[in-house]
Amino acid sequence: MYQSHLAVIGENLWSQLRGLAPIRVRPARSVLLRQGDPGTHVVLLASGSTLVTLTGPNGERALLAVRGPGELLGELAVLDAQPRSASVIAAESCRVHLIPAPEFLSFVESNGLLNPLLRHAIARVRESEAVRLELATACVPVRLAGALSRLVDAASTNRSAVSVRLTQEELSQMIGASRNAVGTAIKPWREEGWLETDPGGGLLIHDITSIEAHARSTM
Amino acid sequence: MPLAPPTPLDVPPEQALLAVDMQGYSKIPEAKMAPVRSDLDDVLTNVLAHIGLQDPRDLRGAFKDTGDGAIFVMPAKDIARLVDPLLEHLHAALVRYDRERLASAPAIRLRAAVHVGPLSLPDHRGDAINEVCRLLDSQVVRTGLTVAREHRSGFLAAVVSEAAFRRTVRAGRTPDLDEEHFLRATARVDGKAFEEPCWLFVPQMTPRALAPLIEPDPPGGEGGTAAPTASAGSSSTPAVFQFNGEMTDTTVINKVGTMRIDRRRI
Repeated sequence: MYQSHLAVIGENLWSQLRGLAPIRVRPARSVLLRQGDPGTHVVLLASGSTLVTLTGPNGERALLAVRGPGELLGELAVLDAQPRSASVIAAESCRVHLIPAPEFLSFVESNGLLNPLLRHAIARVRESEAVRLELATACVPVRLAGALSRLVDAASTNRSAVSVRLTQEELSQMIGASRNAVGTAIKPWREEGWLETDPGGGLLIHDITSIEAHARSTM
Repeated sequence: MPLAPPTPLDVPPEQALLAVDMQGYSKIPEAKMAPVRSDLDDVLTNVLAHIGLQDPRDLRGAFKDTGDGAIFVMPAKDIARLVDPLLEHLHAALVRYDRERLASAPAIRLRAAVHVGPLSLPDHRGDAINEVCRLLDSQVVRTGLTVAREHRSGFLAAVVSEAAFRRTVRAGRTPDLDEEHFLRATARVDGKAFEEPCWLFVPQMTPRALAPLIEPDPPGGEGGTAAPTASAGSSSTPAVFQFNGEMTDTTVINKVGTMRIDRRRI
């Protein structure tokens, strides 16, 4: 089961880590990390949720994951001094601490955090392998259902419907499909009442399990 | 002999200046301004950190938010790094940003100006701050950005002042850029008495490719010391007169199409 960084390193170290940089607010839809950038800092996500996306060499794209509060983002590029492997976009207004790479590295060193951080990173890689396969092989309904499922999982509310505040254009970009293809995929789901399109451009998801089952059956 | 006490005539210490401006920012719908501005700040923060310069936003009086852009005031020693590697890194970061931004977010295209000159801090007293703003506003860098966009799908055009150029590129302090990467040009601002030699840099474009696309200098247009450029026979373009001294005889025969008033003392 996936555990957040906060759960892995504990409240005490987490709050020390947070103390290394002042809090900043990043508006919804701003790009927090750009794939290919050098690892100059680590983002500590104090509140809000973020979209982690992977862009392929021909501009194709996949929503790898949705990450919420208690996560560190971009720590791998700092640990291995390689360019960032994915981009992170704020799905809503986020409060973040931007910890400069040298401060982060010495904190990891002095608190013996390298092992837990690497184990956590490996779990994330395993999770993203499935998404990479989906990106390479699956049809639009399956990719879209997968992306919606990750958005619903991350929302973790007890309410019967989960609101996804991405326009259909943005969703189509997230899964590397045309807007028309996304519209076509959504149509039967809407007719079944598994989701609603809301006038503000977002989606209201009622039954993600049925959506996923239906998408797989069309393959 | 005792040292002279400081006076207002003393030249303040030199500072390196970087000014940037986002093209078309005022045309963005208001609701989209905050994320774009935040994205620009983030790109600049990352580039500065990557090349090992202290972010002036952490220092009092060293950063000015101009709404659609920003002015950074850095120690004079940093001037070479503001030219190389900053300009190339900034462009690469803008290219990556464009690939990763949401389709609903507007592209970020920047004009940049690099300058060096005396400036007192934190009150910004000195001509250098005005000069860097004029350079940033100049027609040559505006045209440079249009050319970059149309010919290379580029995101940056930069202008380097003569003073900054001498201390950096000409002095051999820029490992990856030399004079061949820059187009010598003249910076002018519509409606302002400003005319200075400058160096235009558009990533991934040679000066040879740039030159015909940028409005050419008037012959001998070396910082306002040009002779009148009235060329006999070309009736389509009105003559441009430049008066470089006091005008004692105020009678001008016929009509003057364009007048540039250069108030600098020669």
